[in-house]
Amino acid sequence: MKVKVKLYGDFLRQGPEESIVELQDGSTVEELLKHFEISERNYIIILVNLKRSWFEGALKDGDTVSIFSPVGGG
Amino acid sequence: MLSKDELARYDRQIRIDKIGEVGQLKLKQSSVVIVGAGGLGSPISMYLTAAGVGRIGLVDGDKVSITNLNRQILYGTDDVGKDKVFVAKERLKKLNPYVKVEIYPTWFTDIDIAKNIFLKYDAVIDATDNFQTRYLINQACVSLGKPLFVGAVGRFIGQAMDVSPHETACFNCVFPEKEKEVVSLMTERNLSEGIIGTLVGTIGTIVASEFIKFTLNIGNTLFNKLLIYDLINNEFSIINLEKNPKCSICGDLNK
Ligand SMILES: [Zn+2]
Repeated sequence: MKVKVKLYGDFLRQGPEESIVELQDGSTVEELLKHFEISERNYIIILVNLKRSWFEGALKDGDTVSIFSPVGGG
Repeated sequence: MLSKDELARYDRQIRIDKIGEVGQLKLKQSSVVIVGAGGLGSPISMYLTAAGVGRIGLVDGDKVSITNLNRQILYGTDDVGKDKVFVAKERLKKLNPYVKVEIYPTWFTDIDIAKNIFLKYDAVIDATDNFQTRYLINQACVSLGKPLFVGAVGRFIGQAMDVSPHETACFNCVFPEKEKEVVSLMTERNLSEGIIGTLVGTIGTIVASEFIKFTLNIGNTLFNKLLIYDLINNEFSIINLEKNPKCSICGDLNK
């Protein structure tokens, strides 16, 4: 399956702003994070199709995954 | 009571059924302290002043620099080098002489400085530009039980949330504070990401609206919620939050 991934903030260091990633069917958010070598598990907010998801959340073909870090500027 | 001049000044918002004269009076009787008179503090303080909030505190120890001017609309080119809060006070007084503007040209080097100022206001707005101060403000608000409204930005992303201490998730529940070095590294990275001025405008006005709705007790607010705005893709998301019972700041073990 293919999912679209958008990286934000700190996570832009781990890959492009937007990309299409091919994963095995039944993969979870956790596996996607490993794909990008993202080890952060606290300062991270993950949305799947703009709804909050957790690490164990299952992904399906065509999902859009947005990976945010907290922002602190003003 | 609202004077004839005030009734005219606020006419367009008094016309809204959910506000009315009663609501306008509530705004006049309310007070809030805004920490940070920069990119977020500019629109927040200007809109709350224009809306007729009775008393506004403004905290910032910084001076205006040329690099502020792409987003800090309180200031003009002639203000470079001047103390921010003094310039801001003049600007806000011109905008609305009915609002009492109180300024604090100081940094929050320790929590007592923050607490002593916060005590004098109904609520606190976090419009700062670094994580260290954000954690300190959150801690001071939780310890005093003051409602807190948080706005933050980085690159093309804005975030906003409201905190009702001990009732809803605090900033530390969502993003637990890490070691000092990590927190300053996060701030550094965030600074190097840059900020576009229109983004602080959007997030600043959202935060100002949150304070107005809270004061008037109308509509839906961002308590136990985090709003994420992605300017580049026009995406708004609101996620639900929960108070962390083990939070080192507001957790039940720390009451
Ligand atoms: Zn907390």
